[in-house]
Amino acid sequence: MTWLSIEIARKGYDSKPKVKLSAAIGLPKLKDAESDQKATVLKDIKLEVGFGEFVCILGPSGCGKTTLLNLVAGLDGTFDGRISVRQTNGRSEPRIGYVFQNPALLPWRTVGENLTLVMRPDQLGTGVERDLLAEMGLGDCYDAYPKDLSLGMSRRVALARALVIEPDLLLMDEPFVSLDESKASELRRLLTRAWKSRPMTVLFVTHDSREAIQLGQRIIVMAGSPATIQRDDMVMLTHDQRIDPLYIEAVRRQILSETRPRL
Amino acid sequence: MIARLASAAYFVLSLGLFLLLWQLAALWSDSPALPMPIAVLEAFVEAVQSRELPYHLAVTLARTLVAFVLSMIIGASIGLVMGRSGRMDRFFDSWLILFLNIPALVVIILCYIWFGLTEAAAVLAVSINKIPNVAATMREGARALDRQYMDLARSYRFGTWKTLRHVILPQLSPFFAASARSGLALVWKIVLVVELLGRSNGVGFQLHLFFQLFDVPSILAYTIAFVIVIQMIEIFLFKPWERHANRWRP
Repeated sequence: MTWLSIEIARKGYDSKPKVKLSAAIGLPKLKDAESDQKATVLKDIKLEVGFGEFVCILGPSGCGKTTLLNLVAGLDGTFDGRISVRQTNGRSEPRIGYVFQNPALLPWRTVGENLTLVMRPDQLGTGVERDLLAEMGLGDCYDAYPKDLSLGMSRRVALARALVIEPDLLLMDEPFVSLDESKASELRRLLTRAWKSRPMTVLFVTHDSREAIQLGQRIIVMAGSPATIQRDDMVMLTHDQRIDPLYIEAVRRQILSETRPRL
Repeated sequence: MIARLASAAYFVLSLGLFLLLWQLAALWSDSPALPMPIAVLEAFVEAVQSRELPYHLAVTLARTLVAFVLSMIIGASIGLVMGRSGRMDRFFDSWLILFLNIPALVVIILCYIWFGLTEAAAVLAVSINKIPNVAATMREGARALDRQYMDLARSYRFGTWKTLRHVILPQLSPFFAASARSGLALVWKIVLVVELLGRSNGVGFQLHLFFQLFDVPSILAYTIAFVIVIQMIEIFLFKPWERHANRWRP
């Protein structure tokens, strides 16, 4: 059953994102003379996702994957189309956890404060953030400032921050990029575990096809300018097969054989 | 520890050299226009004992404080709005440039003419001089706000107050500190002029008096006392606050 339905007829570059208090930092405007084709980032995107699915959105860098996530997160309302979410657990608005491409931890708040800031009032004082950090191997960093963390740890805190609110929808924008493979796979394990322990929908954006195959139940390939959905595959692999390079390579060939992007 | 001792030694040495040069210049000129350091010290002790200096100093400090707080609040608000709204910025930019360039003396004279020789006019005149500087600095800060933190605040539904307190203001604190420091330095100098022109107490008024009496030792004694007080505020108030506000910086 469809839980999240995304229909985007067109999303252009030219519209300034309507972020409150941020008019000064608009995107550069393209001249009218430039073709409509060039000014369009996303075109005819139709995507229906069931609750609890783990969807990887795979595409080359700069093809509009981040834009898509921002639209789903409600950061940018300037597009033609409709994004709707069914009621979850009696709440009309889903809880959204967003892991950005940069960890985006507030540097002037400690790790613990970064988590408590996003938590719901009824979660405060229960110590869930301490437990979660400890579970993710960050128990000692509670009072540290982000400047003292390595990139891998920052990314882990960013993941913890998204998970601590118990999201219905987890948006992830290349969250493990520029980490070495062992750190990245450790974080992938943490993510998979979190997803298995609590039902939530994950939209995971990446340009790394191996990462997508390791993680996703379903892989959407996006490419082109303007970007459209090129493929939509289910990945039927067992847990052990997902970490086997041979299986990964086989699936990768199959998914990418008919699409142009080299990933 | 050694570095601290060394810098203290440098301070004492350079101060000693300054006093020595002063002493030599006073001896060489041998005129009441340049008194010896010891004469200034005598004038200082006398002014303190007569309780005149503490009284006038307190009056001037109170005016400085009120004008400073007023201009920081108003200036920061104007700067924030101009930095965040392109339309407001384009519209009021020329106003800002105009006010930045009006000489302090003109503002003071006009305030006294329009509002009378009152305390309110005096403080207002000082604030009007300072507000454009604060606004210009804070505008730069508001323009430099990092987009990724705004996105964070939006996607995690922070709301206006929480966004302001945890996302916007911490990013502005270095700009706030910069304008507070230059603000204090500017405000107390203008307060002296305001007092000289239209008040009957305060350090500026006293300096005016000493000028007419040609009492150079008292002029220097008042000046040095006031400079020391301002430096104390800088060292014991501003620096610790700045350190606290910057504790998260790498």
